[in-house]
This record gives sequence, C-alpha cells and structure tokens, in this order.
Amino acid sequence: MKQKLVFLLWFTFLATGMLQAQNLKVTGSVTDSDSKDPLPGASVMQKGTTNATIADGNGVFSLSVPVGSTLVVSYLGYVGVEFPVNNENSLKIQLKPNTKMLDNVVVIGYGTQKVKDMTAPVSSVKGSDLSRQISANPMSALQGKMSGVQIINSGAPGAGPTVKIRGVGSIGDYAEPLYVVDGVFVNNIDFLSSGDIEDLTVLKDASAAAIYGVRAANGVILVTTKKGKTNAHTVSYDGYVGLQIPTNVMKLADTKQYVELMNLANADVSGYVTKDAANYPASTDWYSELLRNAPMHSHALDISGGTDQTNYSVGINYFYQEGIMKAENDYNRLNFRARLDQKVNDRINVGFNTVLSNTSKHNSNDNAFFQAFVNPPIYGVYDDSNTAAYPVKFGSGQLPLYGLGNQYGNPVASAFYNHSAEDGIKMVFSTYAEYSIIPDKLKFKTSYNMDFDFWKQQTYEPEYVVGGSQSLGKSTLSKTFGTSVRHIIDNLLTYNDKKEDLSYNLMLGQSTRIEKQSWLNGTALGVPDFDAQSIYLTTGSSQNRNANDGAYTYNGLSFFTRGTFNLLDKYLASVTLRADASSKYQAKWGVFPSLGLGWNMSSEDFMSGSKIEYLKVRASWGMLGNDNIPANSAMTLGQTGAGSSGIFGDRLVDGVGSLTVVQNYLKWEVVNELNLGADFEMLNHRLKGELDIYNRVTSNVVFYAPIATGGGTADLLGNNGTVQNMGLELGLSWNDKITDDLSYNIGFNATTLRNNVLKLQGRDYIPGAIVRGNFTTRTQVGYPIGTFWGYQVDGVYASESEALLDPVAQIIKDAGYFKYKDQNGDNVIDDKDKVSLGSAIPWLMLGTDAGLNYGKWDISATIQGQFGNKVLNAKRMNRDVFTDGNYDLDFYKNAWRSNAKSNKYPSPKAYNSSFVQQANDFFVEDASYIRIQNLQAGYTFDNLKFVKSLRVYISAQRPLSLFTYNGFTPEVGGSPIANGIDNSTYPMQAVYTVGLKLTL
Amino acid sequence: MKTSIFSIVIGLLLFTGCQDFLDIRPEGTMPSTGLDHTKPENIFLPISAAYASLRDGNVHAFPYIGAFEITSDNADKGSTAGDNPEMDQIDKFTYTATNSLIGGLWTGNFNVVSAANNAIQEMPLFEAAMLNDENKAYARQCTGEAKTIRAYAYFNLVRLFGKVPIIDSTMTSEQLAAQPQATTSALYDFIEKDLQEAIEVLPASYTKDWAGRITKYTAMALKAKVHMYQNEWDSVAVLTDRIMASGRFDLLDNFREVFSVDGENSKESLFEIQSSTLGRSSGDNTFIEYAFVQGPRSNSPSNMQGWGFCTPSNNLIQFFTDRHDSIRAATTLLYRGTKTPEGDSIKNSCANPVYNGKVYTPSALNLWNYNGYGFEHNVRILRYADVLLMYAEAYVNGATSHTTAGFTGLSALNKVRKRAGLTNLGALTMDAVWNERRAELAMEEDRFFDLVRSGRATSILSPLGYVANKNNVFPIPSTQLQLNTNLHQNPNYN
Repeated sequence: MKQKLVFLLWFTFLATGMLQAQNLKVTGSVTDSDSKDPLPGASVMQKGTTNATIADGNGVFSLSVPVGSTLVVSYLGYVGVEFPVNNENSLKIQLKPNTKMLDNVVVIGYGTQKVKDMTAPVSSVKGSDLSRQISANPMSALQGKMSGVQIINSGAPGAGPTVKIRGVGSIGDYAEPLYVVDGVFVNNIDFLSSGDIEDLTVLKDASAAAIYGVRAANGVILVTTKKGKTNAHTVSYDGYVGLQIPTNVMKLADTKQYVELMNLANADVSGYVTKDAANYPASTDWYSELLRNAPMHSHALDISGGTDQTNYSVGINYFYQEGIMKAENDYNRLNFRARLDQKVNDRINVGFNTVLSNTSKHNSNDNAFFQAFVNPPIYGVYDDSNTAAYPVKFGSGQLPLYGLGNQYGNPVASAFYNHSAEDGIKMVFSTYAEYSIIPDKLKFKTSYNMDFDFWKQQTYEPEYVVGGSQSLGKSTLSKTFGTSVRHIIDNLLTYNDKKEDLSYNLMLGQSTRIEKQSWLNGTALGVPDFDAQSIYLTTGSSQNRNANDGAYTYNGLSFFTRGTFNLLDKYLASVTLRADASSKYQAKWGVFPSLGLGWNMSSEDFMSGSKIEYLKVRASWGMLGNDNIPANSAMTLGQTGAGSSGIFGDRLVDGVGSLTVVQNYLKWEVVNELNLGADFEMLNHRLKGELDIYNRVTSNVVFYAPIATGGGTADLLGNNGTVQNMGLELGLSWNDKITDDLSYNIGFNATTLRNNVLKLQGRDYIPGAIVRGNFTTRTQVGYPIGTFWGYQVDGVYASESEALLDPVAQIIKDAGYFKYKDQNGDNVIDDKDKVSLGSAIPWLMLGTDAGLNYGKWDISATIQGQFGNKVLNAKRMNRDVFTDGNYDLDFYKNAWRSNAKSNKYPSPKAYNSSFVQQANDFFVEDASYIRIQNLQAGYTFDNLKFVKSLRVYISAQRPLSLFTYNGFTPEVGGSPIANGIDNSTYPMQAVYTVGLKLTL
Repeated sequence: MKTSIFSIVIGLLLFTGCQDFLDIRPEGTMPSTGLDHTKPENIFLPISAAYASLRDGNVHAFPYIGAFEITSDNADKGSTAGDNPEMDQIDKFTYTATNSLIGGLWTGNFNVVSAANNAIQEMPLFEAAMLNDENKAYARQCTGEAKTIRAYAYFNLVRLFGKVPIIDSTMTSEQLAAQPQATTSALYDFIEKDLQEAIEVLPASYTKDWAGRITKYTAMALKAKVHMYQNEWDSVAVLTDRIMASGRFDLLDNFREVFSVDGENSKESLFEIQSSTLGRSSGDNTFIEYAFVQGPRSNSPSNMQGWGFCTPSNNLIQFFTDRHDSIRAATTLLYRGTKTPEGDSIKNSCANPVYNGKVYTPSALNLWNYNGYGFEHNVRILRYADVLLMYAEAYVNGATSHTTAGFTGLSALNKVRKRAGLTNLGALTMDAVWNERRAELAMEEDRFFDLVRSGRATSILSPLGYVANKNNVFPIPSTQLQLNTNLHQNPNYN
C-alpha cells in the first residue's frame, strides 16, 4: 500500500513537477493538541490536488508542494486544518479532537453508527477523560459529566457506585442499567480500571437501548476496551499515588456536653443519679479513633499498535486502595487485558479480547461507624482496668462505672475483631468471526462472549471478650466459594447499501444467553486464631461444622432486527424490533419495538447561511423489557432444612413447609419511552449542545411489596405498579482558542427529573422502609417512589402551659416536644396528618467542566451537584432505644433548653421519646449538595529523548463538598422504596494525587 | 461456503428454540406442589414443619417472656437499667403500637398459623391419594396435630390482641389484606372448633421416640384452658376430669425435676416446645433462646451466662416467704452468690440478685459454647399440675359433677400442694386456688393473662402502671393497621 503511494507521488512529481513553480519539500509532524500523542495515518494533502501523503507511525510526514499552496491536514475524529505553505519547510501541526465527532462513529448496540446519523440521544465519553478522574471504578469517574446519569458513590474501598439513568423506573432492587463490555453482559464494571477503557457510551433512551430489549429498561452502558491504532506502536505507562483524607466527618458531643444533655434529658426520671463529667476519665472522639488517612495508588502499562491487517492492545494495571477505617480494610485489583483483531483475508476478520481481573478485598465492619455515632464519649478505646477483656484490653461501656446497655459496643473493637475478606477472579472473554458474504454489503458475524467469575468470601471472628454481650465464646468461621458463568452467543447478519440518495443498513440478529451460578458455604466454630494458615474449617471443632449450597440458572433467547435509513443525509430513520424470552417470567415471550426519526435541518437549503452550522432534531419511541428480577421468584417453593423440621425425642424429623400466600403470576416489566431532542453546533463549531425531553413509563413494575400477615411472609413479589419518569437533559460545551498557545473549554450539563407513580395494583399506597417500628416512606399514586411520609413539625412547645392550651390532641403535650401540624383540622394527630416530606430523588442535577490549556500547561475543574433530594437521618432516629447514646454536636448546640428555647429542635428529653422519634421533617433533611469533583493541573514534556510525551499532574478529587445535611455525605443510596435512609454510611474521602503518564 | 454458514445459523436457531430451554426450575429447591401425595412417608413432612414454626424466637423467647410474665407482678424486666428500652416499656406498660417486640409476637404467631394451615390443607390431599385405610387414618390423625397448633397460635393471638383476622387457608395477598377483624368470641369459637376436631382424631399417646408430639390430651388440656378463659367452668371440668381419669399422667415427685432437662417430656408434661442444639452449629434453628434470655447475667464461665431478663420480683419472693413455700422457692428463685445442687456457681458479680431458676440448665448440658446457656431447655406450655389446678378452679366455681377421676376440687388442689411439700388445706376457696396457681406456675408465662381473665389485673397491676380498659390487650402493630385497613386499633392506644 505504501509502495503504491510512493509510486504515485513520484509519478505525479515527474508529470507535474516541470509544470510547477518552485516546489518546497515540507516535512512536519501531526499530533493531538490535547494529549500530544502523534497521529499516525493523518492525511496531509495539497489542497485541490491529489498530491497527498500520510503521516507515518511517528506522525511524521514529508510532502513536496509549491510555495503558496495550502496544505489540508485531516484525521478521523479531529478537526481538520489548513496550513498555508510559506518558506517554512518544517511544520508542527496540532489537530484538535473533534469532541462532537460528527463524522465519528459511536458504538451502539451490535455495531457502530455515525453520530450525525443517530436518531437517539447517546452520550459518549473517552476512556482518557475517565482516567483523569481519580477513582477505583470507571462509573464513579462519570459523576457530573453526563446529563441524565445519576451516580451515587460510596467511600468503601472497592465499592461500586449506584447508577441511575433517567430516574428510577423499577421499584425493586433491580434498577441497575445493563453493562455490556465488548459484547459481554456484566453486572457492573467494578473490575475495570478507567485505563482499560477506550470509550464508554450510555444509551439513554428506549430507542437506542431497544436493541438490548430484555435488560435495557434501565439504560445501557456500552464499554469497549482499548484497541490498537493502525500503523503505530505505542507503549505507555499511566500511574498515580494519592492520599485519601476523610471529609465532612460529623462532630459529636464530648463528655462534658454529653453529660449536660443526659442530665437534662433524665431530670424527671425517678431513680436517676445526676452524672458528673469529672467522674469519667475519657472524652473519646470515636470517629477520629476509627478513621485514618489512607493511601491509594494505581499503575497501568499499555502496549498497543497495529498494521493494516492486525490491531493489538495489551495492558496490565494494578490498583490499591486502603480504606479509611482504622481496621483491616483495603482493596487490591490486578487486571490483565489483551485484544487482537486480525484481517485474515479480504473477506474474513477474526478477533478476540479478554480481561482478566484478580481482586482481593478486606471488608470493614460498617456497623462500627454506627456504633461510633451512638457510643457516648465517656470511656476510652483501651482500658487496662477492664480485666475481663482479652486478647486486647479494649474499653467497655458495660463496665459498672459506665453502666451502658449491651447496644453500645466499643466501635474500635468491633472493627478490630472483624475479619471479612473477599477474593475474586473474573475473566471476561469474547471472540468473533466476521465474514463478508458480499464485500462492503453483506456481512455475517458470529461471536461468543463469556463472563466467568470465581469468588471466595471468608468471615472470621476470633474468640474475644470486650464486655457485656460484646464477646464471642467460640470463634466462628464462615467460608463461601462460588462460581458463575455467563455465556452469550450472538449471530448477526448485516446488509448495507446505497440506492441513489437513500443509504440503509439492515441487521438481523439472534442471541442466546445462559447463566449459571452456584455456591457452597461451610461454617465451623472454634477455629484457632493462630495465624492465617490456621483459619480453616478443618482446624475448627468437628462437632459444629455445617454446610449449605445453592445455585441458580437462567436462560434467555432473543431475536432482533434493526434498520437504519438515511435519505439525502437529511432524513434519518431507525427501526428495531426485538423478541425476548426469559426463563424468569411465567409469561415467557415479550416483543419490544422502537422507532427513531431524525432530521438534519442544517443540511436543508433554507438553513444555508444560518448562524447555526449544524442542527438536527429527532424524535424516538421505544418499548423495552426488564428481566433483571430475582431468578427464583415466581414459584412457591418448599421450605426444607432444620428450620422446617420438628424435634421429637431429641432427634430432628424432616419437614417441608410452604408459604400459604399465592405467588403472583409475573408478567414482563415493560418500559415505554418517548424522547424528543435536538443537537446543534454553532459559532464556528465552538458551541455545541444537545437537548432532550423524555417521558418514560414503566408498567408491570416488579417488586416486593409488604403484605398483610397470614401467608407466612411479610412481603411478596408481584407486578405491582406503573411508574413514570420524565425530564429534560441539556448538555452544552464551548471550545475556543484565544491564541495558538491558549485554548479553553467549558462544558455544562443539567438534568431535571420528575418521578411519579401512576398506578398501584390493588392498593392505595405501598408503605416502605421501617425505621423504629414505623413505615417512613410511601410509594403512592401521584408521588415519587419511596416518598418520605410523616408529620410536619409546626414548632416546639415553649412551656407546658402553652402545650396544654393547644386544642390539638398532640401525643405528648409538654415543653420541648414537637407540635405536629394537624393537617386536616380535626384536632387529632394521627396517620391522616402525615404528608409527603419530599423524596430521595433529586429534581435537578448539574455538572460543569472547565479546562484551560496554555502551552504545555493544562488545568481543569469539574463541579457537580444535586438538588431537591432529601435524606432521612435514621442515625438520629433511634434514640428511644439508644436513650444513653451520644448526641451530635449540631444537636448539642441547637437543642431546646428552658433557657434557650428552639422552635425547631426538641429538648433532650423529648428527643428520647418514641413520639418524637417518628418520620417527620426534623429527621427528613435536605440533601442537596455542590461538590468540586476534581481539580487538576498538569504539564506535558514533549522534547524528551526516547520518550514521545510525558505528562505529570497533580489532582484533587472531591476536595470540597458543600451541604447542610447532618451526616457524612448526602449521597445515600438504597432500594427504590427505601431510598435515602441514612443509617451508618461510610464517610467520603477527598483524594490528593500526583501522577504521570509516559508514552514511549 | 454460503450454504453451510446459513445451515449452522439456522441449526443454532432451531436448537435454542426449545421451550425446555426456558422452563427451568430454581436450583437447590423443592417445589411446594411437588410433595408426592402417594407416599405415606411424606404425610408427616408438613406437620413437622408446623411443629418447627413453634421454635420461632418471637413466639417463645424474648417477646414471649415480656408480654406474658414481665408484665405481671411475678417478674421484673431484669438485665441492666439501660438495656433494651422496648422491654422496659413492656415492664412499665408504656409501650405503643410501634414496639417491635409486640410486632414480633403478631408476625410470629401468624407465621405459626400459616405453617399449620399449610399442613391442614395438605392432609386431605394425602388422604385422597392413600390406598389403604391405615394411611388414610394416619393423615386424618395428623390433621389433629396441625389443628391443635393452629388453635394454640390463635389462643396466643386472641389473648395478646383481642381481635385479629381469622386466616384458615391459602389466599392471595389481596384476600389477606381484606380479611375482616374477627370478634373475640368468634375467635374463641374458631379455636374451640379446631381443638374439638383434633381431640376426635388424635391418639392417646406415641412411642418414646416421638416425645413432644401432640396427643389427644394435649388438645384437651388446651381446650380446658380456653374454656377457663371464657369462664365456661363446666367444660373445663369435663375436660380436665377426662385427662385426670386417663391414668396416663401424674405429678413428678420432685418439683425441681419437672424443670430439668432430665424431666423433659415426662409423665407430667402435656405440651412442651422442644429445643435442642442436637450438636449443631449456628444458623440452623433447632433451639429456642427461651432459657438463654433469662440466664444469669455476667456470670461465668460463658456457657453459664445469659441476658438476665425476667427476674423474679420482690413481690414474688415475699409471696413465697409468706406462705412458707420453700421447695418451690428453692427451684424458682436462683440467687446470685449461691451454688446449685448440680455444682454450678451463680457468681456474686452477676448483675441481678435473683434469676428465674425454672430455666436453670447445668453447665454439663450447655455443650455449645457460643454464649451458650440453656439451649437444651424445652419451653413448658401445659403440665399436669396446671390441669389439676384448672379442675380445682372449675370445682370452686360450681362445676362439681365431673368426678370420674375420683378427685374433688380440694383433693386436686391438695395433690399439687403435697408435691410442693405443703400441708393440705381444709377448705376450697377461690383465693386458695388462685394463690396455688401463682405459686405453682410462677415464671412460666401464665400469670399476666391469668390476672386479666380473672378480672384481677386492675387491682393487682395498677401500681405497676397497668391501665384498665387498655393494657388488658396489647396494641395492634401500627404497620399491620396500614397493611389491612379492616383492622382497628384496640381502645386507648393511638
């Protein structure tokens, strides 16, 4: 190929050289203006002629052109430039990536499509953008970058985030989007590092996701792993070292403050002895005892490249994150990735790709954070006088001096004696063969994709005594081994052609899915705590060993077809139809169609000369099914085991029990979505934007709803409702160059979301989220799923006399107690006076990205926020059981006191009563927040010997979060009907890192 | 080339198009509809599961001791002052409809009803499928066991909550939510019907390896109690007389032995909830923590300590002292700073001065070391002494014509007294019966509802916080009121 070109050049030179005026041999390099990577294969052409060349593997080209002509340099995915040829014979040409990628292709389901041909809203992010964010998990890196995608993070090492695309459609715990990694369906992408990813595309609406029908109801996230570039070979290293610092740590009362409030709360309690802070030797700040700064580091080595026939990419990366809880708490991940694509001959392409991920995690005992919250500061972490304690002399609140009940366990001891480890090996593998039946027209592709997981989980608690019931007489060990395998076989037949002005692409596909998961668990007691090699079931007591196992199988079958049509590059249409069968539903087959239409208005004559260079309007409609429900849900099962077996004469007699409530017949959960949108570019392609309005209705939503007693179970799975999500998504970006050296970009995305329950089967509402014996949320027609439901606090009684004068029959009428609002004016406070207090679903999410490039320097910042979401502060909501518990500093400062009356906060005594401890708007707090997600500054060296480019950077991830909520973080997940209940969340961290990226 | 590819594709399509591919049963399970009704050995399976449901901790452990005994004048909460505020509320009658222990009593007892209903529904299917008469009769006989269990659960429910829905079959969740709240008298009728039908089919006894299985006399004793709670004295007398006349039951000579593990399922026992570790490790519910939650708190070694709840009150101690009831006192009251006859020390460092001695389990039997105490201890529900006392109470209320067993009310009462080392009484009075009842059945979860049914609760328990016309029943859990809108809260709870 190269030889042909050289010949052409030579011939042209010969033929035309004599006729030309003075020719100049121009050499130069073409590089990416952001990453400074060379762009091999860039086209360099003398404008208006066929005199052209292609940049080599180092981005270097050489072309002979007459002086005064213009060079046109272009490369797929970048904005082309024109260079006038002066007398300079050495040029450094930098091309800017075309962020809207109009001519670029985007990965869509089972194929790719040009951005300008898309009729659906699809958002795409490059892996390099994700890598700039410091996070263990690529999805966390997406936070704030894409409209319509809500990400709720957890601080625990190795913990994946909760991802919600376009609101919450499902009510059950099955609202996760579908992740497809190189054709393999996986549950989440926790096993990938951002460095493994080439690009990540989110299919937001039904028409785009419809091609995945069966599980696409909650959105689809497509991930392709890194590929090699043609005619280039690069080796790169990307690594960073960072420190995590816990942020927004809640402040609690110290011993003096605690004693003051305790004495106020118990002043009227008979037999209460007034406490004196001087009697307590300690004033322990439990959180600072439990938290530490923790390191994290990541290293990735990538080698990739290719020729015309072959593309390869190999990578290895290692990630380590220590947890901020002062205990055995960390996450390790070692990934190996290999990909090969080979053009065997003119008709056949084959390839494979595999990701091998080896993870090991030590889990913390998150209950320790809850204990740190409730434990009074009056005793110390360690206490030599606690003679009964062993092996470590931890302090105990149950010692007579402190007299605390058994619910107050020493949190540091809880964290210390917990050994919970999870190890896993995951292999994602896919291989394909593609055969061109009619070259460039009819192609057949078959692929086999597999996801294999092996995991081991071990929980060990040694024999120990701290005090009270915080002790374990005999050590316990539980080990679980499990495997899961998922096979997907896809067969695709695609035909594309162009007839006059109409180009079209037709696809016919078939997919088979088989999933099997099985596990085995063993438990033993009395396992000695000698060292790691002694912690096995066999070293434990032979008397108390037990084993259990289980499995699940799932099969799915699909047939699908898609047609995309492009008339005159102006009128676009896309139609898909998918038929799915799933072994999970009793109604086996579901059929899901979709239709998308688009109009490239900017290509019309009436739009020529307009300021808007590119404008496309689109409309789409789609129907999807969701089969991400529990596999064994639809059948009434016999209950076996010791729990169903009676004891007679000291022997166990086998029994088989059963529920006496009829299981519901499960139909497909179906999503119906309508989307209207527009994409535009204007002001010389500097301003780009997209706007989408959508309305999605999920019907036959499958979830567990609580039922009246008598059936033997407290809740039952059924097609229990219809939910609507609607909203607006806006994305804007501005890129500009002030001088050659200085350019900047600003991006902005906004999402509004309104979630609404349209219908509930057979009932007015579904209560959810029991906290302190009361349901605290309602899923009710006309309100969002999991709306907080409780009393409005109308003030706090200033005195007993004021309380007694109130005609409304408040449950307790005394100074310092809440005055609940009597909504219906019947002078009685009961369930009828409970109202909606808001929901955990934010109605607005904003994100903004700003970047500045000055010569070799680059600076960027990402800010994001969520507004209108509420959280139930369940940490505070158990004082009637933890009456001796500690108070948080905010409460200490603001509590009602007889000499400092508050109209919002109750008195310490009222705070302990179960009448105050109910769902009300004191406990339901505003969880809106704004956060600086990432600040980064970097410098690129490009003049070094042996090294193509080296970028060093410093970065701060989540350095600042602003919120009013009285908790560690307002990001509290949960199942849809019990969303936003904050019990003991793992604190969030800011991460400060130093890193470098080296390309050889 | 082309054709072979297509044929592979089509072949794949056809192969995977089988319906069998999509019809898979969940792994590791037995379908409930899969019981082979033609096999006689399967008859007992659902019945066994109904028995197992009685081992629920909510039904017979922590909330049970709270609602049935700690509420009474016999016992205090126990443990330490700040421990378990919800039990504190039960002790002081300050509980509300959100108390989770009361909620547990509701759901636990209804789960027993569900397990019993399942068994009751399976039995006719077995009977129909069985070929020989002996097996058919066995299926009918087993129905009696399930009905007794259901009646027992409903007896708990009617005493605890007064008015609850009657659930007697498998229903859809909509039907469950629409069940009406039955009246107390309708509930008692339902209970009596179940027990009457059970009595007709149950055998008089089983072989020793079936110790703990419900006999005809279990059902009769329970029915007698049910009648006693409705003051239907003649029915009480008829049933207790029959039990006494059967000759199968008698009092053990040694009072202490009645409550020991050796004395389990003895000739005095009519109904006991079986509990045993069977040498197993945790996770497999084969024992109830009934004795454990009442074990000596902060005692050592760790297999001789418990949570220390439900401690005998000073009132009870004084009661024993005043009537010189030393044998019963020695068994019922387990003081700290003493050593038991079996050789175990209850250390002075224990948190409470006295514990429930009737659940005492010697260390040699607490084989399981995980904070383990008393997992071998069965929960005594009905025993012969109770039958004799019910007979005496019926007699003093005028039901004097049922003397087949050769007892009078007074002779029955004196028999119970004699075993406890007390002298015979000369005359039978209501107070004498009631006091003997208190002394004999102290700390056995009989006292509170005994006071309520006999109209003495207000006078005796008001000093402890009992409010008349309110605390005679417990509040229906507020979550249940929201799930079934036919349910209305009991008076004076909001």
